[in-house]
Amino acid sequence: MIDLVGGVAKATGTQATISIGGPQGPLEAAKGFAAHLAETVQAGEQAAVGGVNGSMPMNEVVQKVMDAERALTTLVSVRDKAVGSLLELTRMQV
Amino acid sequence: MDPISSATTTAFSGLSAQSIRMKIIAENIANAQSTGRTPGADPYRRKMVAFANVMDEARGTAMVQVDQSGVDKAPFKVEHIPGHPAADAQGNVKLPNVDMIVEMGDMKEALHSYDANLQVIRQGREMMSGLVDLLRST
Repeated sequence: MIDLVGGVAKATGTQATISIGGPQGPLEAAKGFAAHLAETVQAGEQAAVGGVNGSMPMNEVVQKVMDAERALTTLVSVRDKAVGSLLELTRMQV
Repeated sequence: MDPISSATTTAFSGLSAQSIRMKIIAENIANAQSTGRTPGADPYRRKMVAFANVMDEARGTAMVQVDQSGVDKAPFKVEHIPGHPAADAQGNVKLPNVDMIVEMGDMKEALHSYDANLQVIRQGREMMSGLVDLLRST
């Protein structure tokens, strides 16, 4: 879970570097998911530049920017959920 | 690929197809009076688009593709304008086979199809945001 928070947070640009424990299968997959979404966001940014230059058809620009928006929204939601779970853990009584 | 994303991608291909159709209509309207440059030469021939269903294997979804190489084989209109540079020995000039009413009808249809595709995109977006919002509800 902590690795997941680090991976998702990095991909959203918050540069959180929480990392405890070694690499684990599902958590690595979650990082890959975050990296894929980050790539989509980057493609959206490039499309926006292409739209301003007029070097890309408007349909494509809108599609890529919308994809990026959706990826970002999903990513932020997943991150919030993960951070929320982490906070719940820290509140646990010992 | 996610079915809602596939629907959106297909609708975007529809938008692209209708845009190309609109471009062809614009060319037809702009050239409705374009004659040949030499005596007896053929004038502008009306262009036509044809739509085809294409399977995108990578996404596993059907897309629409436009073939814009077609031309209308209807005969040209002929008018008697003896002084025209494109007039033949009898003074007849061949005019394009573009019919403004047909072009206007085509344009209206392109607009409606474009709007329908936009509506699919809006709806898909709404469904997807609804789904992602489930994560936010606490």
